[in-house]
Amino acid sequence: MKAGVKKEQPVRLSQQELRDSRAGKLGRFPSEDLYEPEQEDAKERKATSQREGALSGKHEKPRG
Amino acid sequence: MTDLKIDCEPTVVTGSASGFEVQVVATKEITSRLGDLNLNIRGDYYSSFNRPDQEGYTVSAEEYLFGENEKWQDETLLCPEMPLPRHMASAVRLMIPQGRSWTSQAVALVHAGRAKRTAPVHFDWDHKWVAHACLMGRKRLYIFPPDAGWLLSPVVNTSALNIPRFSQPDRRELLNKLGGVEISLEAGQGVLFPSMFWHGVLYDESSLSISVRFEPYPGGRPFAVLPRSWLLQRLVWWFFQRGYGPESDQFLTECLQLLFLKKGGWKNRYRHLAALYRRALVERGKQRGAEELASENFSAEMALASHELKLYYGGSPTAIQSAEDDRVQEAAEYIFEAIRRPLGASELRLAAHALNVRQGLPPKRGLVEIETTEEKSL
Repeated sequence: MKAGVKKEQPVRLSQQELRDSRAGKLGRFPSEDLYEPEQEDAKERKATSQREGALSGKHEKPRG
Repeated sequence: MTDLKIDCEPTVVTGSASGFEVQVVATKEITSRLGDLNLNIRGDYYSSFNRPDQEGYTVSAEEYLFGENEKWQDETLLCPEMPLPRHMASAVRLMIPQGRSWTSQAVALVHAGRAKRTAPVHFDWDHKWVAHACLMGRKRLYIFPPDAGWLLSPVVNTSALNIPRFSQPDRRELLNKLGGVEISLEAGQGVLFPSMFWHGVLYDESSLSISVRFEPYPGGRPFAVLPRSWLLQRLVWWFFQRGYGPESDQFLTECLQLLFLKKGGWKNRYRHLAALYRRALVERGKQRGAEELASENFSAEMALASHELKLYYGGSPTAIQSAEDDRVQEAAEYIFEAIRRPLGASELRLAAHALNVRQGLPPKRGLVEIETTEEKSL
Protein backbone atom coordinates (compact mmCIF):
# COMPACT_ATOMS: atom_id res chain seq x y z
CA MET A 1 0.00 0.00 0.00
CA LYS A 2 1.30 3.45 -0.90
CA ALA A 3 2.28 5.77 1.92
CA GLY A 4 -0.47 8.22 2.70
CA VAL A 5 -3.20 6.13 1.08
CA LYS A 6 -5.74 5.14 3.65
CA LYS A 7 -7.07 1.64 3.13
CA GLU A 8 -10.83 1.41 3.05
CA GLN A 9 -12.03 -0.63 5.98
CA PRO A 10 -14.96 -2.99 5.57
CA VAL A 11 -17.96 -1.90 7.60
CA ARG A 12 -19.45 -4.43 9.95
CA LEU A 13 -23.21 -4.25 9.99
CA SER A 14 -25.36 -5.96 12.51
CA GLN A 15 -28.22 -8.18 11.39
CA GLN A 16 -30.60 -5.45 12.53
CA GLU A 17 -28.79 -2.90 10.37
CA LEU A 18 -28.96 -5.27 7.44
CA ARG A 19 -32.71 -5.63 7.90
CA ASP A 20 -33.14 -1.88 8.26
CA SER A 21 -31.11 -1.14 5.16
CA ARG A 22 -33.18 -3.56 3.12
CA ALA A 23 -36.34 -1.78 4.21
CA GLY A 24 -35.22 1.33 2.34
CA LYS A 25 -33.85 -0.39 -0.72
CA LEU A 26 -34.60 1.16 -4.04
CA GLY A 27 -37.32 -0.56 -6.03
CA ARG A 28 -36.49 -3.95 -4.65
CA PHE A 29 -37.67 -6.95 -6.61
CA PRO A 30 -38.37 -9.76 -6.03
CA SER A 31 -40.05 -8.90 -2.77
CA GLU A 32 -37.97 -9.99 0.12
CA ASP A 33 -40.88 -11.95 1.55
CA LEU A 34 -40.85 -14.15 -1.54
CA TYR A 35 -38.05 -16.04 0.18
CA GLU A 36 -39.93 -16.64 3.42
CA PRO A 37 -42.72 -19.19 3.57
CA GLU A 38 -46.15 -17.90 4.53
CA GLN A 39 -46.90 -18.16 8.20
CA GLU A 40 -49.12 -21.20 7.90
CA ASP A 41 -46.37 -22.84 5.82
CA ALA A 42 -43.87 -22.18 8.55
CA LYS A 43 -46.18 -23.68 11.15
CA GLU A 44 -46.83 -26.71 8.98
CA ARG A 45 -43.13 -27.14 8.29
CA LYS A 46 -42.31 -26.98 11.97
CA ALA A 47 -45.01 -29.51 12.79
CA THR A 48 -43.77 -31.84 10.03
CA SER A 49 -40.20 -31.40 11.14
CA GLN A 50 -41.12 -32.19 14.72
CA ARG A 51 -43.00 -35.29 13.60
CA GLU A 52 -40.00 -36.37 11.54
CA GLY A 53 -37.74 -35.52 14.46
CA ALA A 54 -39.79 -37.68 16.77
CA LEU A 55 -39.45 -40.59 14.36
CA SER A 56 -35.77 -40.19 13.62
CA GLY A 57 -34.63 -38.93 16.97
CA LYS A 58 -33.51 -35.64 15.36
CA HIS A 59 -34.90 -32.20 15.96
CA GLU A 60 -35.16 -29.19 13.73
CA LYS A 61 -31.90 -27.33 13.50
CA PRO A 62 -32.20 -23.79 14.79
CA ARG A 63 -32.04 -21.30 11.92
CA GLY A 64 -30.58 -17.84 11.72
CA MET B 1 -67.75 -21.62 -13.18
CA THR B 2 -65.72 -20.69 -16.26
CA ASP B 3 -62.01 -20.13 -15.96
CA LEU B 4 -60.44 -16.94 -17.24
CA LYS B 5 -57.98 -17.90 -19.99
CA ILE B 6 -55.77 -14.97 -20.81
CA ASP B 7 -53.41 -15.12 -23.78
CA CYS B 8 -50.11 -13.33 -23.27
CA GLU B 9 -48.00 -12.57 -26.33
CA PRO B 10 -44.53 -11.04 -26.39
CA THR B 11 -45.67 -7.99 -28.35
CA VAL B 12 -42.78 -5.86 -27.13
CA VAL B 13 -40.04 -8.26 -28.24
CA THR B 14 -38.77 -9.08 -31.70
CA GLY B 15 -36.20 -11.61 -32.83
CA SER B 16 -35.28 -15.04 -31.59
CA ALA B 17 -36.75 -14.61 -28.11
CA SER B 18 -40.26 -14.00 -29.44
CA GLY B 19 -42.63 -16.11 -31.56
CA PHE B 20 -44.62 -17.91 -28.91
CA GLU B 21 -47.44 -17.19 -26.53
CA VAL B 22 -48.48 -18.47 -23.16
CA GLN B 23 -51.80 -18.54 -21.38
CA VAL B 24 -52.54 -17.62 -17.80
CA VAL B 25 -55.51 -19.60 -16.53
CA ALA B 26 -57.23 -18.21 -13.45
CA THR B 27 -60.31 -19.81 -11.97
CA LYS B 28 -63.18 -17.60 -10.87
CA GLU B 29 -62.18 -18.43 -7.29
CA ILE B 30 -60.06 -15.29 -7.32
CA THR B 31 -62.41 -12.72 -8.83
CA SER B 32 -65.56 -14.07 -7.22
CA ARG B 33 -64.02 -14.22 -3.76
CA LEU B 34 -62.24 -10.89 -3.43
CA GLY B 35 -63.13 -10.85 0.25
CA ASP B 36 -60.82 -13.86 0.75
CA LEU B 37 -57.83 -12.26 -0.94
CA ASN B 38 -55.93 -10.07 1.48
CA LEU B 39 -53.74 -7.42 -0.13
CA ASN B 40 -50.69 -5.70 1.31
CA ILE B 41 -51.29 -2.02 0.63
CA ARG B 42 -48.52 0.58 0.82
CA GLY B 43 -47.41 3.89 -0.57
CA ASP B 44 -46.18 4.04 -4.13
CA TYR B 45 -42.48 4.22 -4.82
CA TYR B 46 -42.12 7.98 -5.17
CA SER B 47 -44.23 8.71 -2.13
CA SER B 48 -42.59 6.16 0.13
CA PHE B 49 -38.94 6.35 -0.90
CA ASN B 50 -36.69 6.33 2.13
CA ARG B 51 -39.67 6.17 4.45
CA PRO B 52 -39.49 2.57 5.65
CA ASP B 53 -41.66 3.54 8.62
CA GLN B 54 -44.56 4.54 6.41
CA GLU B 55 -47.66 2.70 7.45
CA GLY B 56 -48.87 -0.25 5.37
CA TYR B 57 -52.19 -2.03 5.52
CA THR B 58 -53.55 -5.50 5.02
CA VAL B 59 -57.05 -5.41 3.68
CA SER B 60 -59.28 -7.57 1.48
CA ALA B 61 -59.19 -6.91 -2.25
CA GLU B 62 -62.92 -6.22 -2.10
CA GLU B 63 -62.48 -3.49 0.51
CA TYR B 64 -59.44 -1.90 -1.12
CA LEU B 65 -60.71 -1.94 -4.71
CA PHE B 66 -64.35 -1.07 -4.10
CA GLY B 67 -64.65 0.09 -0.47
CA GLU B 68 -65.96 3.55 0.44
CA ASN B 69 -63.46 4.13 3.26
CA GLU B 70 -61.77 7.51 2.88
CA LYS B 71 -58.39 5.91 3.44
CA TRP B 72 -58.53 4.21 0.05
CA GLN B 73 -59.09 7.56 -1.69
CA ASP B 74 -55.39 8.27 -1.03
CA GLU B 75 -53.90 8.16 -4.53
CA THR B 76 -50.52 7.00 -3.29
CA LEU B 77 -51.79 3.71 -1.84
CA LEU B 78 -51.74 0.49 -3.85
CA CYS B 79 -50.58 -3.11 -3.83
CA PRO B 80 -47.62 -2.86 -6.21
CA GLU B 81 -46.89 -6.58 -5.90
CA MET B 82 -47.23 -9.45 -3.50
CA PRO B 83 -46.90 -13.21 -3.88
CA LEU B 84 -50.14 -15.04 -4.64
CA PRO B 85 -51.28 -16.45 -1.27
CA ARG B 86 -50.84 -20.15 -0.90
CA HIS B 87 -54.56 -20.86 -0.46
CA MET B 88 -55.11 -19.47 -3.97
CA ALA B 89 -52.17 -21.18 -5.68
CA SER B 90 -54.38 -23.86 -7.24
CA ALA B 91 -56.55 -21.13 -8.80
CA VAL B 92 -53.76 -20.06 -11.16
CA ARG B 93 -51.71 -22.02 -13.67
CA LEU B 94 -49.57 -21.24 -16.65
CA MET B 95 -50.06 -23.02 -19.96
CA ILE B 96 -46.89 -22.90 -21.97
CA PRO B 97 -45.53 -24.54 -25.15
CA GLN B 98 -43.20 -27.47 -24.67
CA GLY B 99 -39.58 -26.38 -24.19
CA ARG B 100 -40.33 -22.74 -23.32
CA SER B 101 -39.70 -23.19 -19.59
CA TRP B 102 -37.17 -25.46 -17.99
CA THR B 103 -38.93 -25.63 -14.62
CA SER B 104 -42.31 -27.09 -13.68
CA GLN B 105 -43.26 -24.21 -11.42
CA ALA B 106 -43.53 -20.46 -11.85
CA VAL B 107 -43.93 -17.58 -9.40
CA ALA B 108 -47.25 -15.72 -9.38
CA LEU B 109 -47.56 -12.20 -8.03
CA VAL B 110 -50.70 -10.15 -7.42
CA HIS B 111 -50.92 -6.46 -8.37
CA ALA B 112 -53.82 -4.17 -7.46
CA GLY B 113 -54.59 -0.48 -7.63
CA ARG B 114 -57.46 1.95 -7.87
CA ALA B 115 -57.74 4.64 -10.55
CA LYS B 116 -54.71 6.99 -10.85
CA ARG B 117 -52.36 4.82 -8.79
CA THR B 118 -48.95 4.24 -10.34
CA ALA B 119 -46.02 1.87 -10.24
CA PRO B 120 -42.69 3.40 -11.27
CA VAL B 121 -40.82 2.46 -14.40
CA HIS B 122 -38.29 -0.14 -13.29
CA PHE B 123 -36.74 -3.44 -14.33
CA ASP B 124 -36.76 -6.57 -12.21
CA TRP B 125 -33.81 -8.63 -11.21
CA ASP B 126 -35.09 -12.16 -11.56
CA HIS B 127 -34.36 -12.51 -15.29
CA LYS B 128 -37.58 -14.26 -16.26
CA TRP B 129 -40.46 -13.93 -18.68
CA VAL B 130 -43.41 -12.11 -17.12
CA ALA B 131 -46.89 -13.19 -18.28
CA HIS B 132 -48.97 -10.29 -17.01
CA ALA B 133 -52.71 -10.97 -17.04
CA CYS B 134 -55.39 -8.46 -16.13
CA LEU B 135 -58.24 -10.14 -14.23
CA MET B 136 -60.36 -7.07 -13.46
CA GLY B 137 -60.56 -3.42 -14.41
CA ARG B 138 -58.24 -1.47 -16.70
CA LYS B 139 -54.64 -0.32 -16.52
CA ARG B 140 -51.83 0.83 -18.76
CA LEU B 141 -48.32 -0.56 -18.92
CA TYR B 142 -45.38 1.41 -20.26
CA ILE B 143 -42.65 -0.91 -21.48
CA PHE B 144 -39.20 0.10 -22.72
CA PRO B 145 -36.36 -2.07 -24.04
CA PRO B 146 -33.34 -2.62 -21.75
CA ASP B 147 -31.20 -0.19 -23.78
CA ALA B 148 -33.55 2.69 -22.91
CA GLY B 149 -31.95 3.16 -19.50
CA TRP B 150 -29.57 5.85 -20.73
CA LEU B 151 -32.47 8.37 -20.91
CA LEU B 152 -34.48 7.15 -17.94
CA SER B 153 -32.18 8.58 -15.25
CA PRO B 154 -31.77 5.15 -13.68
CA VAL B 155 -31.23 4.81 -9.97
CA VAL B 156 -30.03 1.23 -9.91
CA ASN B 157 -33.17 -0.45 -11.31
CA THR B 158 -35.75 2.32 -11.06
CA SER B 159 -36.23 5.38 -13.22
CA ALA B 160 -36.11 8.65 -11.35
CA LEU B 161 -38.69 9.93 -13.86
CA ASN B 162 -42.27 9.46 -12.77
CA ILE B 163 -43.32 8.57 -16.30
CA PRO B 164 -46.84 7.33 -15.47
CA ARG B 165 -47.59 10.86 -14.23
CA PHE B 166 -46.14 12.64 -17.27
CA SER B 167 -48.54 14.54 -19.50
CA GLN B 168 -49.77 12.42 -22.39
CA PRO B 169 -47.75 14.34 -25.07
CA ASP B 170 -44.52 14.20 -23.04
CA ARG B 171 -44.95 10.53 -22.34
CA ARG B 172 -45.67 9.80 -25.99
CA GLU B 173 -42.52 11.66 -27.01
CA LEU B 174 -40.41 9.75 -24.52
CA LEU B 175 -41.90 6.44 -25.63
CA ASN B 176 -41.15 7.29 -29.28
CA LYS B 177 -37.62 8.39 -28.52
CA LEU B 178 -36.78 5.27 -26.55
CA GLY B 179 -38.64 2.64 -28.54
CA GLY B 180 -41.15 2.10 -25.76
CA VAL B 181 -44.79 1.07 -26.01
CA GLU B 182 -47.97 1.83 -24.13
CA ILE B 183 -50.18 -1.22 -23.65
CA SER B 184 -53.70 -0.84 -22.35
CA LEU B 185 -55.02 -3.95 -20.63
CA GLU B 186 -58.60 -4.73 -19.76
CA ALA B 187 -59.97 -7.73 -17.90
CA GLY B 188 -59.13 -10.85 -19.88
CA GLN B 189 -56.12 -9.32 -21.68
CA GLY B 190 -52.44 -9.95 -21.07
CA VAL B 191 -48.92 -9.33 -22.28
CA LEU B 192 -45.66 -11.25 -22.11
CA PHE B 193 -42.40 -9.37 -21.57
CA PRO B 194 -38.92 -10.09 -20.22
CA SER B 195 -38.43 -8.85 -16.66
CA MET B 196 -35.27 -6.98 -17.67
CA PHE B 197 -37.36 -4.64 -19.82
CA TRP B 198 -38.21 -1.35 -18.11
CA HIS B 199 -41.90 -1.28 -17.18
CA GLY B 200 -44.28 0.93 -15.21
CA VAL B 201 -48.02 1.12 -14.64
CA LEU B 202 -50.85 3.64 -14.52
CA TYR B 203 -54.20 2.38 -13.25
CA ASP B 204 -57.19 3.73 -15.20
CA GLU B 205 -59.73 2.15 -12.87
CA SER B 206 -59.74 -0.30 -9.99
CA SER B 207 -57.85 -3.28 -11.32
CA LEU B 208 -56.49 -6.63 -10.21
CA SER B 209 -53.79 -8.47 -12.16
CA ILE B 210 -51.55 -11.48 -11.82
CA SER B 211 -48.09 -11.83 -13.26
CA VAL B 212 -46.69 -15.31 -13.66
CA ARG B 213 -42.93 -15.41 -13.99
CA PHE B 214 -40.99 -18.30 -15.51
CA GLU B 215 -37.46 -19.14 -16.60
CA PRO B 216 -36.90 -20.11 -20.24
CA TYR B 217 -33.40 -21.55 -19.70
CA PRO B 218 -31.01 -22.26 -16.84
CA GLY B 219 -28.34 -19.58 -16.51
CA GLY B 220 -30.07 -16.45 -15.23
CA ARG B 221 -30.09 -17.25 -11.52
CA PRO B 222 -26.43 -16.47 -10.69
CA PHE B 223 -26.82 -13.01 -12.24
CA ALA B 224 -29.84 -12.42 -10.00
CA VAL B 225 -27.52 -12.64 -7.00
CA LEU B 226 -25.08 -10.05 -8.33
CA PRO B 227 -25.74 -6.41 -7.41
CA ARG B 228 -28.42 -4.87 -9.56
CA SER B 229 -26.99 -2.69 -12.28
CA TRP B 230 -28.55 -1.13 -15.34
CA LEU B 231 -25.36 -1.98 -17.25
CA LEU B 232 -25.47 -5.65 -16.24
CA GLN B 233 -29.22 -5.69 -16.99
CA ARG B 234 -28.44 -5.02 -20.66
CA LEU B 235 -25.84 -7.78 -20.76
CA VAL B 236 -28.23 -10.25 -19.14
CA TRP B 237 -30.77 -9.40 -21.85
CA TRP B 238 -28.07 -10.23 -24.41
CA PHE B 239 -27.44 -13.61 -22.78
CA PHE B 240 -31.16 -14.25 -22.17
CA GLN B 241 -31.91 -13.95 -25.91
CA ARG B 242 -29.16 -16.46 -26.65
CA GLY B 243 -30.11 -19.00 -24.00
CA TYR B 244 -27.07 -18.15 -21.82
CA GLY B 245 -24.52 -20.91 -22.55
CA PRO B 246 -20.68 -20.81 -22.60
CA GLU B 247 -20.36 -17.07 -23.35
CA SER B 248 -22.54 -16.25 -20.38
CA ASP B 249 -20.70 -18.76 -18.20
CA GLN B 250 -17.32 -17.21 -19.03
CA PHE B 251 -18.66 -13.76 -18.27
CA LEU B 252 -20.08 -14.94 -14.94
CA THR B 253 -16.66 -16.32 -14.00
CA GLU B 254 -15.11 -12.88 -14.64
CA CYS B 255 -17.80 -11.24 -12.50
CA LEU B 256 -17.22 -13.62 -9.60
CA GLN B 257 -13.46 -13.08 -9.77
CA LEU B 258 -13.93 -9.34 -9.48
CA LEU B 259 -16.57 -9.60 -6.78
CA PHE B 260 -14.75 -12.02 -4.52
CA LEU B 261 -11.10 -12.15 -5.45
CA LYS B 262 -10.25 -8.56 -6.25
CA LYS B 263 -8.38 -6.84 -3.46
CA GLY B 264 -9.74 -3.64 -2.02
CA GLY B 265 -12.95 -2.22 -0.68
CA TRP B 266 -16.37 -1.92 -2.21
CA LYS B 267 -15.65 1.15 -4.31
CA ASN B 268 -12.71 -0.53 -5.95
CA ARG B 269 -14.64 -3.71 -6.67
CA TYR B 270 -17.59 -1.70 -7.92
CA ARG B 271 -15.39 0.23 -10.34
CA HIS B 272 -13.82 -2.95 -11.67
CA LEU B 273 -17.18 -4.65 -12.13
CA ALA B 274 -18.72 -1.58 -13.80
CA ALA B 275 -15.67 -1.35 -16.08
CA LEU B 276 -16.12 -5.00 -17.03
CA TYR B 277 -19.80 -4.39 -17.84
CA ARG B 278 -18.93 -1.37 -19.98
CA ARG B 279 -16.22 -3.27 -21.86
CA ALA B 280 -18.57 -6.17 -22.45
CA LEU B 281 -21.30 -3.82 -23.74
CA VAL B 282 -18.90 -2.03 -26.08
CA GLU B 283 -17.64 -5.38 -27.39
CA ARG B 284 -21.23 -6.28 -28.19
CA GLY B 285 -21.87 -3.04 -30.05
CA LYS B 286 -23.79 -1.23 -27.34
CA GLN B 287 -21.61 1.85 -27.22
CA ARG B 288 -24.42 4.28 -26.68
CA GLY B 289 -24.99 4.46 -22.97
CA ALA B 290 -21.90 2.43 -22.23
CA GLU B 291 -19.00 4.68 -23.17
CA GLU B 292 -20.44 8.16 -23.40
CA LEU B 293 -23.37 8.17 -21.05
CA ALA B 294 -22.26 5.76 -18.38
CA SER B 295 -18.87 7.17 -17.57
CA GLU B 296 -17.63 7.54 -14.01
CA ASN B 297 -19.27 10.97 -13.95
CA PHE B 298 -22.66 9.50 -14.63
CA SER B 299 -22.95 6.90 -11.99
CA ALA B 300 -26.18 7.07 -10.09
CA GLU B 301 -25.42 3.67 -8.63
CA MET B 302 -22.29 5.01 -7.03
CA ALA B 303 -23.67 8.37 -6.02
CA LEU B 304 -27.12 7.52 -4.79
CA ALA B 305 -26.97 3.93 -3.65
CA SER B 306 -23.72 4.00 -1.74
CA HIS B 307 -25.15 2.41 1.37
CA GLU B 308 -26.56 -0.49 -0.58
CA LEU B 309 -23.35 -0.94 -2.51
CA LYS B 310 -21.38 -0.92 0.71
CA LEU B 311 -23.49 -3.85 1.78
CA TYR B 312 -22.73 -5.66 -1.43
CA TYR B 313 -19.06 -4.93 -1.75
CA GLY B 314 -17.90 -3.99 1.70
CA GLY B 315 -16.95 -7.51 2.56
CA SER B 316 -19.32 -7.08 5.48
CA PRO B 317 -18.71 -10.04 7.76
CA THR B 318 -22.30 -11.07 8.25
CA ALA B 319 -23.60 -14.18 9.90
CA ILE B 320 -23.54 -16.56 6.95
CA GLN B 321 -20.13 -17.24 5.50
CA SER B 322 -19.38 -20.89 5.88
CA ALA B 323 -19.67 -23.25 2.94
CA GLU B 324 -20.40 -25.90 5.57
CA ASP B 325 -23.68 -24.19 6.33
CA ASP B 326 -26.60 -26.22 4.93
CA ARG B 327 -28.28 -23.04 3.79
CA VAL B 328 -25.30 -22.11 1.61
CA GLN B 329 -25.32 -25.52 -0.03
CA GLU B 330 -29.08 -25.33 -0.61
CA ALA B 331 -28.82 -21.83 -2.09
CA ALA B 332 -25.88 -22.88 -4.32
CA GLU B 333 -27.79 -25.89 -5.62
CA TYR B 334 -30.70 -23.63 -6.57
CA ILE B 335 -28.60 -20.83 -8.09
CA PHE B 336 -26.51 -23.20 -10.22
CA GLU B 337 -29.19 -25.82 -10.87
CA ALA B 338 -28.88 -27.28 -14.38
CA ILE B 339 -25.80 -25.19 -15.14
CA ARG B 340 -22.85 -27.43 -15.88
CA ARG B 341 -20.46 -25.81 -13.50
CA PRO B 342 -18.68 -27.28 -10.49
CA LEU B 343 -19.60 -25.71 -7.15
CA GLY B 344 -16.22 -24.24 -6.25
CA ALA B 345 -15.24 -21.58 -3.75
CA SER B 346 -16.56 -18.67 -5.82
CA GLU B 347 -19.91 -20.35 -6.39
CA LEU B 348 -20.34 -21.06 -2.68
CA ARG B 349 -19.35 -17.50 -1.83
CA LEU B 350 -21.98 -16.26 -4.24
CA ALA B 351 -24.52 -18.46 -2.50
CA ALA B 352 -23.50 -17.13 0.94
CA HIS B 353 -23.71 -13.63 -0.53
CA ALA B 354 -27.24 -14.38 -1.80
CA LEU B 355 -28.26 -15.35 1.73
CA ASN B 356 -26.68 -12.26 3.25
CA VAL B 357 -28.29 -9.81 0.85
CA ARG B 358 -31.45 -11.95 0.48
CA GLN B 359 -31.40 -11.83 -3.26
CA GLY B 360 -31.72 -14.53 -5.91
CA LEU B 361 -32.78 -17.24 -3.44
CA PRO B 362 -35.28 -20.04 -4.08
CA PRO B 363 -38.78 -18.55 -3.92
CA LYS B 364 -41.01 -19.99 -1.21
CA ARG B 365 -44.18 -18.08 -2.04
CA GLY B 366 -46.44 -17.57 -5.01
CA LEU B 367 -45.52 -20.90 -6.59
CA VAL B 368 -47.95 -22.12 -9.25
CA GLU B 369 -47.85 -25.03 -11.67
CA ILE B 370 -46.76 -24.88 -15.29
CA GLU B 371 -48.51 -27.09 -17.85
CA THR B 372 -47.07 -27.64 -21.29
CA THR B 373 -49.08 -27.31 -24.48
CA GLU B 374 -48.51 -27.57 -28.24
CA GLU B 375 -46.76 -24.48 -29.58
CA LYS B 376 -48.88 -22.31 -31.86
CA SER B 377 -47.08 -20.51 -34.65
CA LEU B 378 -47.67 -16.77 -34.38
